[in-house]
Amino acid sequence: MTEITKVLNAIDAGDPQAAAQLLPLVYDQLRKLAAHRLAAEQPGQTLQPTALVHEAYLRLVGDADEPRWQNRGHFFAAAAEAMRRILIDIARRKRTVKHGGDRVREPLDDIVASEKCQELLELDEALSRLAARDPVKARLVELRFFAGLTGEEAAKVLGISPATADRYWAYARAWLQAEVRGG
Amino acid sequence: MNEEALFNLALDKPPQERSAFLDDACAGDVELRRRVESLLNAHDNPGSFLRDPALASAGAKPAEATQALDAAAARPTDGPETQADAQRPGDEDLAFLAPSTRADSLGRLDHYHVLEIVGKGGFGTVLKAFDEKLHRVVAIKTLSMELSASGTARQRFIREARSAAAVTHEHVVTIHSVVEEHRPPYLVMQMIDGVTLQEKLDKTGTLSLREILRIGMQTADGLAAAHKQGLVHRDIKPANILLENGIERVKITDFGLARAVDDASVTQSGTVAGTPMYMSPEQAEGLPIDHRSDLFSLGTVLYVMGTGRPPFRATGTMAVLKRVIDDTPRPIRESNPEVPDWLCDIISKLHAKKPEERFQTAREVAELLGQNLAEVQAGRAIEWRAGSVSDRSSPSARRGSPDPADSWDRRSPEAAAAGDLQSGVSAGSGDPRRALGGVAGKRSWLAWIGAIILFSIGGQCVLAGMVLMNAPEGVLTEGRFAAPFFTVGGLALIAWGAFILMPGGVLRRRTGFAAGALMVGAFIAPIIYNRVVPLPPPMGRLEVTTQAVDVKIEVIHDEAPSTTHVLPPQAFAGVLFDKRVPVGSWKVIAYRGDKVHYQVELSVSANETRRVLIPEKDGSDAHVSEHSWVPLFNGKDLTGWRSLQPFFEVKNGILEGNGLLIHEDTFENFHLRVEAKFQKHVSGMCVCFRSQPGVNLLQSGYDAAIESEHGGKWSAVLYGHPRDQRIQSNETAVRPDEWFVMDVIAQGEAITVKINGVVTADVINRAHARGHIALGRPANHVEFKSVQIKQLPSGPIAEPGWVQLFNGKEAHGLILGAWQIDKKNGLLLGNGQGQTYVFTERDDYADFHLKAELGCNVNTDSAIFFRCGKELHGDFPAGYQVYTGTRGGTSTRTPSS
Repeated sequence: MTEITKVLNAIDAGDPQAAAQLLPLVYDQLRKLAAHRLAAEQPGQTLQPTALVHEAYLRLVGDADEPRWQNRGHFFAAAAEAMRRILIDIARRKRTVKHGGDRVREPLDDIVASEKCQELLELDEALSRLAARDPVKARLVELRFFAGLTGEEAAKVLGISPATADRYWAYARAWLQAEVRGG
Repeated sequence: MNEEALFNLALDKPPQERSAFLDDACAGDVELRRRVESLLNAHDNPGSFLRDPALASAGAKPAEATQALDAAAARPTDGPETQADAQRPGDEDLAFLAPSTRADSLGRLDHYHVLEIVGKGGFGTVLKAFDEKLHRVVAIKTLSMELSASGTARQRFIREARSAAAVTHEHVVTIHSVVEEHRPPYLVMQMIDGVTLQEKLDKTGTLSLREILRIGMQTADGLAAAHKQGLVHRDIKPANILLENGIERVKITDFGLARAVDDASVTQSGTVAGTPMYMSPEQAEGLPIDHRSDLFSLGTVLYVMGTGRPPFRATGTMAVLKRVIDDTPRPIRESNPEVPDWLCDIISKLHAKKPEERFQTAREVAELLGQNLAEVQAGRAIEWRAGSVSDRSSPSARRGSPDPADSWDRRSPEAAAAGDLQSGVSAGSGDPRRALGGVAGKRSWLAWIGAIILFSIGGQCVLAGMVLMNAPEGVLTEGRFAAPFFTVGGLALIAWGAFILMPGGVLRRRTGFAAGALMVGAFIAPIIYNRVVPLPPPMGRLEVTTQAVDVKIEVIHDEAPSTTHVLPPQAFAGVLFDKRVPVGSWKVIAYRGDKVHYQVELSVSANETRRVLIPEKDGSDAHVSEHSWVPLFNGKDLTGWRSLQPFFEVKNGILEGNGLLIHEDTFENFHLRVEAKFQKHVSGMCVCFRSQPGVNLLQSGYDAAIESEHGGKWSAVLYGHPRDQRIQSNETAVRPDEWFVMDVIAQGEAITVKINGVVTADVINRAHARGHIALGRPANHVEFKSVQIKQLPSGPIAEPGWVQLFNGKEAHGLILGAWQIDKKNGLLLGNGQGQTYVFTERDDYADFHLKAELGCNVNTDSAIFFRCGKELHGDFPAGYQVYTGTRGGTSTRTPSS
């Protein structure tokens, strides 16, 4: 059993410590993968978050013995959060560079376009506000927007029906948009 | 009501009603209304907000590679007036395209480089394009300029396309995005390489049953996903069913687009547009429709696949619509008799004019078609039919008025082909799955139970075989491991069998794991549950024959005195006792009056018959009695003998032949006397005895032989098998063509061979076992005048069964080494210097009872080692020892301690 499988099983068994161990593992793996992909892909090729997340899953958990969906759910939730952090970290760093910071460019910086940094950071803040009001919808946005899951997959992770997920999505998107645009 | 609930409710209303709804619902709460309105506004104008996943939308392009494209993208694209120069000759529909930098491109639509025109339809054009941002090939549908001029059509197009984009399903073409800001609006979707079902049908006419079922099932499956989202396709027809290259996977396209076309046509021309031949009656009549309209169209698609032509054909749109509304299509089997009844019935149920009489959900249809497909693929022709028995005779009549309470059952293919109307088992329910579970379930359960029983019996046999093979000398004497092994192992095999027989016959991973765990459990359980379970003792057979009359006989099991048989005196000689008895050591005592007339000890082994002959004369003295001779050869024929090679015959009272002649009985303690002769030019003759059954006689037991030696001499040789060793060899005066008498006296562990009264072999301490007697010599001609035998008591010494290795005067079969015999005191003495041992000559004592009187001086030890070799390990022979000494009391050592 891989380390991550143990962690996932521990989460499943209700161990509160385990959830905290999951995020760093997934975060590291996703960063590594993204950097690797970025180096290996053709110029102009865009990284697909779904592909990254699924590959991270395969690398960390493996596909042996059809793991329980429950485990995948924990994983994807963590991956979505990790992905969000990665992108937001990059956006922050790039904004700092733009504002005169002299930090060294990192390879992953390219996955966030400079003109998107501000948008992303605003979205991140709005999303945090949404999370305070309605954590499920915020997680849904994370899963769909940051991990690239489909509505149906995200619904499975959250344990809600796809129809509910779609209603939540419509609302969350409108809410975030109103929040970001309307200030 | 909170903001979110209001937002959701308002979304369900048509846009023009929302304002009134909010007025009402917010009841003067201005702030709430403002919030909901801004949410609705945001919802209706999402632009690219959160449209694509973060990475995809954030993806940066290396500068050089995409600079040109960026520059091109920066040019304004909306407004046909700017695109005059982009227009390719003959492609008026593409007037809205901007010039592309790609050589292979017809023009550009935002960041999509149009590669070719795939098709044109009532709503607009389908383009194949390259998405420069995501670097993938996509299909683009544009609304025709004509339609996009209509505000309603435009709005519908966008709205329907947007809801279609929410459907993600393997049998629905995925819509990537809807671009409404553009004129004309367009939608970007998954590019499917393949043909439409229409194109396939144009080429092949009808399809095979499997194809019909598969395509029908996948289409229904895709519809079910869309219906779940509240989306009605409205234009299900072969041209909207794409078959992906290679696997021919169904992809339904153009969800809801008919509606946009509909609106435009109705408003513009007052006629119904679309594809009349595939419409539902309610669509044709212009009535409100729901998802069941798609099911009617699906029925039409199935009909077309089966017959090659649409069911409602007529000249002119109105005539077609009229037929859709009123007519019952021509029975399918009139066009294609190969379409099974049940499929016709499914189609006619889909073709019910009233939506409530059709199947109610696409899911139901998908499952039904899927089940039937599985049955057809499994080679089982399972017949499904809708409608009551009486309906069957006139299917066309029934189609006009299908029975909503249809019962479904299965029929044999023969019955169906013969048009037999016999009803099968009816589940009495409209749910076909229930019927399947009821009938198919019962049948396959029987098969399962049968197979499980076979599995468990087979498993028990395998396990029994394993246990027996591992038992010492092929005899299972104890039930150690056996009982739990059998129990758990049997359960595991039953489970294993059950899992393999899961529906589909495939051992699934989880059940495989469970079965595997049970199997492992079966092997672990005996270790945990390691109890010796005594089994019924193995049995042999004991036969007591008496020549003496009026003797009372006791047959006593030495170790289990309870199994004692006492036979009252009999007035006749013959077989007195012939029974299956537990193996072990038995004692047979014959009493004449109170006096012991004869007694013998013998061991009965498993599945072997032991015979005891009680002599007529008093057998308590060990002298050979002439009266107890029993002839083994009757002077007439081969009764009692069998020949290994059929070369023995009786001629003139002489038994002669070439090979080995085996007596059917076994003997242990006996005196055998033969009168024999062998020819010149042969190598001799032999008498085998105590030879084991089932083994080459010359490879087991003993062999008293006469053999020619160099120089014309002859030797009498006693061989011991299995190692074919010469035990003793002495010259003999016997010559070919002369009769001689050979005596073989085998009693306990002593064997004596005499030829013409001269002892040629005389040995003791020989392992003895009961066995057969065989005469002759393969490839040598030997003759016998007489063969007789006399039963002897079991041992040469007073106490039957005991052999003296040291009798106070002499040692027999012992290697004394540095030890000496003190004849004066009758002792065998060690010299007391260092470790010295007396070993037996024989090194194969396995099951024995050893008695010794021994002692030692102060500060010395005595020990008896057994089951050991002659080599010393350290100071001791390896093996077991019983130790006694003045230094440490008495103890027992084993090889490991």
